[in-house]
Amino acid sequence: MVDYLTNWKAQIRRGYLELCILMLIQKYERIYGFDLLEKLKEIDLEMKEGTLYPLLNRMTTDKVLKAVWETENVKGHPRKFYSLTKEGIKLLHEMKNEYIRMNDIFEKIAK
Amino acid sequence: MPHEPKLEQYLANLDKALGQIPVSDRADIITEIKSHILESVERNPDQGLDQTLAALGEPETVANRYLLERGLRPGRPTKSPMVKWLTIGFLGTLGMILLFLIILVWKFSPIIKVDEKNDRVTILGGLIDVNGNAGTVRVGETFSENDDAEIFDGAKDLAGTNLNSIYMAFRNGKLNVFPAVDTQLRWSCKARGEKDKSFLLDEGNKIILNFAEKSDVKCDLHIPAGVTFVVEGTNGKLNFEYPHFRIDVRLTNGDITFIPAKDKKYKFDTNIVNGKIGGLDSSSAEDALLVKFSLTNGNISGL
Repeated sequence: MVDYLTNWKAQIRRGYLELCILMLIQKYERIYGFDLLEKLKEIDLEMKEGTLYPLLNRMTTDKVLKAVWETENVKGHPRKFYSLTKEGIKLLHEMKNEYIRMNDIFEKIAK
Repeated sequence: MPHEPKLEQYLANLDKALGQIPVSDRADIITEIKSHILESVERNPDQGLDQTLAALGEPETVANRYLLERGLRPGRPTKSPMVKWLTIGFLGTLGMILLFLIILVWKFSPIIKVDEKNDRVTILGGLIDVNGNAGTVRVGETFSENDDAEIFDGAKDLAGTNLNSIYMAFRNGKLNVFPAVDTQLRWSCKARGEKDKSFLLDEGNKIILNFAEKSDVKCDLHIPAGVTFVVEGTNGKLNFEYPHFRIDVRLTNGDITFIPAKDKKYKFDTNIVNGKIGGLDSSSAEDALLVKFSLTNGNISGL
């Protein structure tokens, strides 16, 4: 039973995490990986760095996100800042609607 | 942290594991992960590099996530260095043992050869050669003849004694063991070594024929009924004819022939490491005489 729940959690979390990450990026407009990890931690949606970076990488390849290396105004090493592309903003809008629709269904059943 | 070897090694391993991804993308990934590590160490100085790397996970695991996200087949998860070295060490040792065994078999094969016709046992490719017909035993290069052997003959009447076992100890030799027709224990031996009386020890309930200090022993023994005859030897050829006594033989190399008495039953307890056993009929009857043969290399045959 524990395995079943773990498996289910992993499945539902995957899509949910992507939605939350995109929402966070939209909220802060531009954010780099380490900072995003911290923000996720703050809202109790912890994620392993070894999982986040590959996900951001894929979202960039899929043109949902765009990434810019920035060395100005930061001391030391360069940082890779992520922001939503136009397509990304459209996609996030659709994703939010889908989530709201799903949540409505949940509420209807739970009533 | 300009050139931290651990960090460089981690990034090098990550780069290697990302192999399938185009080089410019790989460089981007490496730079981002490096940036993350530096930022983490900078923000949590007490945490240290080791913990930061541990939190990231093995470079191969991280690389596999990148590959999976791109729909590429991840590489095989590589073993941790500890497991890798243990495996190498284990296989290396196994290889050396195998090589040693091959040399052993090659140099000393056949391990044992029994020539029934000529009454001869050759052990370890001729390193030890027990020649029953000639009554000689050769170990290594030293070859000995029984020409200058001493004679040890004697008898002891066991009637009225509480003697229950007879021990015979030797290094190399041949024994013919017969049943005594009366209560007399008789021995008729030839052996090389000092002629003295110390070979015979009477300990009340047991008699010890100690030929361990002599070589090329050749004995005819007559054992009375009812006792246990114990033999301990290194290399030897033993013939038992119609025994009506219990037997306990512990031999390293050799050949044992057993001719059962028609009116006796025997319960055999045999243990042989290299060689074969044949022709022994074990009985579970209560009056069966216990016969124990323990042999490392050689043959046991019943007639």
